[in-house]
Amino acid sequence: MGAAMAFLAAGLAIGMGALGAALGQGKAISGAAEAIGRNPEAGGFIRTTLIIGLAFIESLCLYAFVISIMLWSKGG
Amino acid sequence: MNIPVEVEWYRVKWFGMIFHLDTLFYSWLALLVILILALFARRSIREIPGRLGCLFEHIYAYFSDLAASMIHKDPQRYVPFIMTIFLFVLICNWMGLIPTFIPPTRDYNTTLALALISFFAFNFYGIRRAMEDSKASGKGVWGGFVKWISHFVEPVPDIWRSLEGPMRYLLTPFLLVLFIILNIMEELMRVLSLSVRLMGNILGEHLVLGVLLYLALFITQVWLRPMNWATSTFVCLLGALTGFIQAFVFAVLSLSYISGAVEGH
Repeated sequence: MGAAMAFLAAGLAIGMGALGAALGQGKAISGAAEAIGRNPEAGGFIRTTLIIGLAFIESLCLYAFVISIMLWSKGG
Repeated sequence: MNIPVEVEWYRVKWFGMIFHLDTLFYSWLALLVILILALFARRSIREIPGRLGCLFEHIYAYFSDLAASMIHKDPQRYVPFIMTIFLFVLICNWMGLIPTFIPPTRDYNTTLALALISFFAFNFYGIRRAMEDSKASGKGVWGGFVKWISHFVEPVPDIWRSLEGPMRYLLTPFLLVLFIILNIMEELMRVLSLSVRLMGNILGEHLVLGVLLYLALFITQVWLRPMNWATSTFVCLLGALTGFIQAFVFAVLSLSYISGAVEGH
């Protein structure tokens, strides 16, 4: 029972973490694409900022990934 | 961390410590690759550089421009460090694309070591810059060190100035303790987020690639195998992109932490 709950929690953790990170990254990318469309000269700077911002958002998802791997190793 | 898919027989116990021999071997291999690349690139540096020299010059020029846009005083000093980190992480990440190879950055020990190097580097650069500035302005070396230490209480002096009356003396001690703890935690969280980001990306991509390749080779429904081949090819291409972007992000974040440390607060 405990192992099954650990696997369930691992799946839920990464699933919900990925959901939130995906929504946030989609919003960030849409904003950056709009900005590049309006002002193509600033494209390089916007792209660098976007990639750094995406990395920050992604690290939240990766915390969930690490937690889910810890839970997985507890279950199996 | 005990990850169930880790290959346990590469782990050797010597003198009470556990050595991850696979990670060690592949990081030394990455160093060897960088050494050979660097030797060839060095040979092709001329008035008109060869192909490899051109590539390295482009990477160096990119990071040099980036450093110049983030740091005002003597930006060229920090470029070799950033580029070293970038090249090592890039080669380590791309090592996972070759079948049966293991990217050393998949191991938390490698990424934690890299993040700690970056942490000590930006603190060292910050202290050195503060000391040199105060020496140049005639306040002596230790004035700069005190100025650097005082950034741990950062927003409290402003709050002190903006508050009036008894609230000033009631509130400030609590805020002082709170902000010192917060500032130290922020520095430690930088190490955690740098290392976990790199490890999580590379480990996740490597796991997905491994599972897909396993399915492509051994799944019992034979008609599903080509689809898994196609998917794993796609994930492999995605992995090349991810490996590059993660190396870039690691280097740029180290650079921005250095810029935050040397530009003053």
